[in-house]
Amino acid sequence: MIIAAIVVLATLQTALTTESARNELNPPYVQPSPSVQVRLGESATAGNLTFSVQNVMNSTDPQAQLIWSTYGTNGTAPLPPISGSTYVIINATVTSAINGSPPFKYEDVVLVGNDGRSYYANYPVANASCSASIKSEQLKSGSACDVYIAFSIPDSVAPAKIVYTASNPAIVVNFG
Amino acid sequence: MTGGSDYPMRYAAVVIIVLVLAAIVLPSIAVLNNLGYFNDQTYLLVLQDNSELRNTGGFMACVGSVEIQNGQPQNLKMYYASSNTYANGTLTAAVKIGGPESFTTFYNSAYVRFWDMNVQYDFATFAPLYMSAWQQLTGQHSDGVIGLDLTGLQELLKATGPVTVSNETITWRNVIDRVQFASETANGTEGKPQLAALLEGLAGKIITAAQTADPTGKLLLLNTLHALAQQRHLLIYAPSALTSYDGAIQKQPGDYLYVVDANSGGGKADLNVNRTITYHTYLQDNGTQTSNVTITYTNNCDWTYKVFTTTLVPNDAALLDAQYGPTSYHLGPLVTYADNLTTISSYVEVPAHTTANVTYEYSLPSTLLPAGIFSHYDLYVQQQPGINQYTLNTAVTLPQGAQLIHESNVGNGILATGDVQVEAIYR
Repeated sequence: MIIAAIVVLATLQTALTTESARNELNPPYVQPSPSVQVRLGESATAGNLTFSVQNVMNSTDPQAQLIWSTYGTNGTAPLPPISGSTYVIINATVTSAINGSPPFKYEDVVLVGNDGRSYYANYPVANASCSASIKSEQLKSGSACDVYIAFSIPDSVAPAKIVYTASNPAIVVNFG
Repeated sequence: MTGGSDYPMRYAAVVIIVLVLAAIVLPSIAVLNNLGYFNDQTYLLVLQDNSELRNTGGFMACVGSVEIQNGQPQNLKMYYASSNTYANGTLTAAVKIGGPESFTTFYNSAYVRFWDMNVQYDFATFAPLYMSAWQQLTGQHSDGVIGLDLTGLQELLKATGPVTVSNETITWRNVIDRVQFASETANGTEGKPQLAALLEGLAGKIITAAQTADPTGKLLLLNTLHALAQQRHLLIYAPSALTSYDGAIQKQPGDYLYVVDANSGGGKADLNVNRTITYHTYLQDNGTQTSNVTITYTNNCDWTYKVFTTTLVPNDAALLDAQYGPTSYHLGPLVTYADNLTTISSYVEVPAHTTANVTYEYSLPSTLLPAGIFSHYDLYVQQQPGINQYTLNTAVTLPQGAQLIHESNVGNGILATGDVQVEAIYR
């Protein structure tokens, strides 16, 4: 009886541990279709919106810290990285092709790690001329907005690509 | 024994099993009934932002209510706490508080705003006051209070996996930042509807994920909820059903230590402030003792951390001295009494990227417990809700000539995520 109880408890513990690990992982990345592929520093236009990623930084990078302290709403976020994780900060540029571009939301930008998983944006800041959530009427033809977006990823993972998911086609920026 | 002659034994075994199961199940049924599983109960909700620590776990970021009808959560409503959207337009709703004395004396006021009213030393004391104030503001009666902090929200999402709210994917990795962003970008917007909508959506999705989880998923959630309750990231005040998750002061016979901090204008800093509690007690031949407690704050933020800290120790403690480590500014000490305990309070400012500490030396009457021919020293260190982790250093100096028989949790560098029981047995 005691042995049976131990076996049941051990099985239960294993199941919980396995389930726990599965749920804690971010979802696997699924390539959007259709999509347009570009490289770091290159821009792609989809619909009325042009998107590019200029730079990828670690949050400990002095440039990243300067940007956050300059443009952050109160200098308090993002919070310190979770233990065993780091913040990757991307510098993206959003440009309108014509007046009335579709709205841009930082929440629609996804980082794909070299582990093949999707990491969803944590926190953005934008330069003084725009906000990280740009309404269509705010982005005039030819005007550009610099947005800095932080992603929390495990220390063991490196960023592989950035995907802007709200456009049709989706814009995929490949690193490396 | 063969044939029908073993029937009585089998019958007895069945009766015993049924009785045992009944003993286990019937109380559970009573608890479920009291929680509203078989009838209707209304619980108030409070999301405590533990990046801005307050006595019961964190700044009251969002408040609301949920009805449990036949085991099903319904009519979930969340509001930004610092608004009048739920309070019949009474934006400056002032609530009279009867204490604690340390707060009313230090701030020279017996009134607080509704969303600042969690100044009591424990959730079990705060909750009925919150229920009463809520009923005055909204007219809604409630049967209990459920409190969750941001760490609890994060851990729940680890158990459920990512959820989608308004086409946004929320994971345990980004939930705290998303909540902070929704809060900050809505500054100046009455009621912060984005924040309330995000949290209401999140709560709804987590409830759905729990209801639709497979048996393993449900067990995982149960495991998570239990751990969160143990660590006081989840607090449940339901006096007619549960009493073990209400975060009440755990004063037991023996020595006792409970440090309760309230961020006092120090911004959302607390997840980036490390705390160390160092406690050294010197036991005398007659059982009385002299103790030193040092609370050390390491501020890793880019701005000054400001904290009103209260240390609760056994009744009849007499403060002998207070010292403040390198700090730009401090006030105190202030000695008051509450819950049959002595409380010592100070206000401390910790400049950016520095460490500061406060040390109290006090004497205590004997706290030794009876242990036959031995002497038994026992210290209970209670963890404040909202704290993720703290470092505990303990030392017990025995009377001269005493021989140590056994000790536990005595030493340096204990990384604690909950209450800690320290013990030393000697003769």
